Amino acid sequence: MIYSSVREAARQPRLIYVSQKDHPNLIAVSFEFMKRIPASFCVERALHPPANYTLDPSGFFAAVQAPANASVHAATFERAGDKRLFLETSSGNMATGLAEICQQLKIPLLLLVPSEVDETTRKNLVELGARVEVIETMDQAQRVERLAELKQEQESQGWRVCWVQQYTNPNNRSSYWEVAEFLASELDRIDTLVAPVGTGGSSCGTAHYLRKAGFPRLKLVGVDACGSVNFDHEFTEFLMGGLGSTVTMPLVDHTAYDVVHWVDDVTAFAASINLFNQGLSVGGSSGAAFVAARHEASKSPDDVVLVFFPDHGRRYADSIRSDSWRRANNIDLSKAKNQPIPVTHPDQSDPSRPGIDAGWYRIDWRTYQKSKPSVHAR
Amino acid sequence: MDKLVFELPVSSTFDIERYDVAGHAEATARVYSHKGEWLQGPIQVTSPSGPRYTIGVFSLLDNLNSAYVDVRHTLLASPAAPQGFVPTINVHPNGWNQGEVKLVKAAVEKTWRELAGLIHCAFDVYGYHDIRVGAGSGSSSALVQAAIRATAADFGVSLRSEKLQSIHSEIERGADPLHLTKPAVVATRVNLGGCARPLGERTPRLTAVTWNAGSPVRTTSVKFEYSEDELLLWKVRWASLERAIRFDDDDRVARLATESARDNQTRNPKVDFELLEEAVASFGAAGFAVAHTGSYHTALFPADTAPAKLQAYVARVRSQSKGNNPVRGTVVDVQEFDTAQATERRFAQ
Repeated sequence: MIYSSVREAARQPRLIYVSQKDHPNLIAVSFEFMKRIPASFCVERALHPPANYTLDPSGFFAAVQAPANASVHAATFERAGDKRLFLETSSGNMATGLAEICQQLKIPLLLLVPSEVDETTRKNLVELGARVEVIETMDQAQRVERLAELKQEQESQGWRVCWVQQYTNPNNRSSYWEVAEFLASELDRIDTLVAPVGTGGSSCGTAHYLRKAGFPRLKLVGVDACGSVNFDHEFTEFLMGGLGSTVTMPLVDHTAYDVVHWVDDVTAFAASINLFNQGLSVGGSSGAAFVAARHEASKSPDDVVLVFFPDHGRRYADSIRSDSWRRANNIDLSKAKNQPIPVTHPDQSDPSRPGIDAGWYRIDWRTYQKSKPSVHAR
Repeated sequence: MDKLVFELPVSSTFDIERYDVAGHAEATARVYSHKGEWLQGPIQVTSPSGPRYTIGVFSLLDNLNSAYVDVRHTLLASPAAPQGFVPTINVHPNGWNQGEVKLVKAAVEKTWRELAGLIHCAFDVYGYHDIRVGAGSGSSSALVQAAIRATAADFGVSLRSEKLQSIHSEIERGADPLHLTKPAVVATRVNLGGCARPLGERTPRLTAVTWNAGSPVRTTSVKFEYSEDELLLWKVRWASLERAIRFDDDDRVARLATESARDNQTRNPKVDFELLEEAVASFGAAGFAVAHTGSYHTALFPADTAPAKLQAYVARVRSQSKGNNPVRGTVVDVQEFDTAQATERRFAQ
């Protein structure tokens, strides 16, 4: 395939039979940086806010008005002249995606990056032209608080600031139309989509479009970090990046998921290293997704199961794949789980509760949700 | 000149016949209609000002109904038409309404002007069609195209598709994609049905149960308004349709048609929609389609559906339809057919 632009080529995933011998029904959708997709789309939408379109007498659609629920993130930014600035916090991949697109469009970018983010990634962000401020916490609430201050500071200096707000920006979710288009073009069947859940953008966005484009019975399996608050757990520490959350994510639509897996760091990292040893370098979130997807593929051998691998593993040589880092963080790969523990209620898998260990758990989310529809409907 | 005017030629996409004697010629053309749009939504096309969205349509092109036009011209005394000459066109309506007569006259005149404007002549036009008007099956498009083709043939011209579209666009703003000879998504509002996305050679093979539900709908009364996110959804749908048709995934085609119909129901609600939903929920249909700006409904069953099941559904439609007639149980035009065979017969030349 010849791509129409460098940007398009960089966003396109590869489809890989990742475990063909044991799971011939399992296909990985492997991205170099999946976050390039929402980064690029959010920036473009900020520069060109969405409109409604109506058919005019010439036979073409013409923009008539901004929709009532138009993203506030785009407000007036397109008319801001040259002194425009994008702002965001990210633990790595969204930051890289934004830095790339802002460099291409020659728009300044200010990033608030946690100190845990590796030096190579930070250098790469600077090389791409971003201004980087380091914050000594991974806690999303504190980062958001600091971002609000930064926004105010920049505005007082005359900048028109667009805070991308990937956690709440609906364009994050909408951006995955192009992944759905790619999958619908390439595959005859898609029965199950297994996706790591961080902001909820990729899983909910892709499933939304696929379900309305010929795959109405698509089963969506969300993969969360054990300790994340995305699916009715209280927060407890976890190391994985790229999935899980310490705060409620508005883009996680609980009604979209059929099954949820909570995967602990050890199990996810072990799977990621196994994939690396097979020649596929991916991060920890891909490892978590892979174990969940293998389980679903075994459980439903007649279904075609897709699994998202959101990023390349080159960032993780000094962490997940480093013996010393794993020792320092008490990660013993021999303790990786082979099977999920089935649960019927999130409390049964919540490591913040006494007597419950971080581990790998699986819940039929839709059944659980039906028992509490008023709590989860959004 | 010994041809019977209303003799029906064998089935094909555009049947054209021509007879010519000194000072007088006659030609006939038949154009088949369709049973509404299976998918209808925004599609991106290239325009002189860059990529833009227009309305795209994917229709099943069957051979069930057609418009048939017979055009005869008689040369007048002086061979060359004087400047400003407008030919007399005597239309002999055979059940055509006033609007249809007007369209046919316009089609004959514009075609003459385009192809034979120096020829000093008068016309007699005959014909008929069995296409339900306002049902979303392209009755006016079929009639106009048949009139254009017959007039062109009357002067010995076999029209290229582009020329046909060009003449047609001067008569109707929007047109149904009746000129196609292969499955395609067409941009019905731009270049009069120009192909926006070719879909290969194959037609989905499903068993269709079609009926007319409701009163005629004026296409111009439907408001085409979409959000930007809906435009993106349609990009995914068109890509999915292309894959489904090229790789024989007929069930997916039916599901896509269903989604398009459900979307349309929020813009342009139809009676009997519950009968379509019932086809999927209780009778094993793979999906359904509606004429988005018309009144034809089509339940789409897998090709291997047992005849008894189809008959049960037909009986259900006949007894429950609220659309065709005010009194239940009097629906008379339920048609059951194999979609691929209907298209193959239409395309067979």
